[in-house]
Amino acid sequence: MYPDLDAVYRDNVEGLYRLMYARVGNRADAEDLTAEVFRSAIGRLRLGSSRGEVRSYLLTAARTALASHWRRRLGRPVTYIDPEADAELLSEAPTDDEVSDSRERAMQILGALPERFRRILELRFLEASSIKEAAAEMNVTVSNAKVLQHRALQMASRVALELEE
Amino acid sequence: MRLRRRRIASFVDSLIEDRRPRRFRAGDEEVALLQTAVMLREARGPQAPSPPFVSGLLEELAFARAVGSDGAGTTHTPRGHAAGRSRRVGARPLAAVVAALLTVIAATTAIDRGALGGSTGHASEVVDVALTDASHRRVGEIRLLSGAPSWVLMNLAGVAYDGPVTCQLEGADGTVLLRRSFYLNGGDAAFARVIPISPGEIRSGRIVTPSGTVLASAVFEGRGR
Repeated sequence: MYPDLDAVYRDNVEGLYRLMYARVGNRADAEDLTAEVFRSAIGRLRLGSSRGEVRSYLLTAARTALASHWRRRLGRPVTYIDPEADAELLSEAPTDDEVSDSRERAMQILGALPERFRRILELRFLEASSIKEAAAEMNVTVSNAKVLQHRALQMASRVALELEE
Repeated sequence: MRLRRRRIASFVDSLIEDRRPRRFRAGDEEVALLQTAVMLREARGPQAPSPPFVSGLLEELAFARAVGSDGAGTTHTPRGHAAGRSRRVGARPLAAVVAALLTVIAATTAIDRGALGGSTGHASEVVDVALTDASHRRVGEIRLLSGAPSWVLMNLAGVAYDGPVTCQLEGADGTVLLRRSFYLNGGDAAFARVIPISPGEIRSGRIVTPSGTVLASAVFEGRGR
């Protein structure tokens, strides 16, 4: 059990932020969504609840906040939070397994792509190169790099779907 | 097709540059690509929240609890939660917001109580201005408090917007000195944050939506010039 609401906050803010960041991919939205979850949940939490119950409540609020976020931003959901499956992600620090899981999945997808598709996505997503830098690295024009990136993402998306099935 | 490609490219650019993507109406095929982009972005590893964000949100939550603790404040009811009843904090006068803030920070900071209350000395350290919308209708107030630390306090009521917004504090040349995010719930909000700049540098304030619409603004006359 938590002694007070500050303890609830301190114990969960980092995990919740990391989870939101993983689901939206940028700091500004991750901060807004983390804040939204705490604003909505913290006045409703019962301090007599167990740590697991508190986290389950926070994750349920997080699922709602993320769904609303995507509805506002793109008109439909893009990523999801599953309060049961994602409960581990609220732990204080990410385990090596969690880190390697997401990286390994990405590597599996990238590994299934033709070399140029793989390389453009590696440069962009793993090395955070700008499109100009990626184009120079691959010796193509910026326009060609954009087309290459789009086609690579299309193929990566199909591979991701196949891996899930 | 070209438009779709441009929108995906813009979304990817945003993720890679760690900024908020633009809004658009995504189709089925686009959603699959966006999901893949977010998943590939995640492979760069977990991101920790910044210490200013963590401490700022803690202050805000403590403040909101204090405002709501006397029965006249708020219980924030997010959309999508059926239970509960929303009481409006934004409609409270700034003096009540300041009084609530006092209970939160008095024991932990060196801010001057006279400046906060505005009743005993240090009046020059307090600046209050009205926040008005595009029709020059008064929708709230901002108070700047000089101290260690300095604070910005604000209340808004009856703004025609619901959702996350940013308070921008600007200098004399229009440069944005500071941005702080908060949430308008049914058009209302009360907001208090420590600011790491001198209130004397601030010439104006704006409340801006994520798409850039200015909901309200305030000018601190004769300051920052």
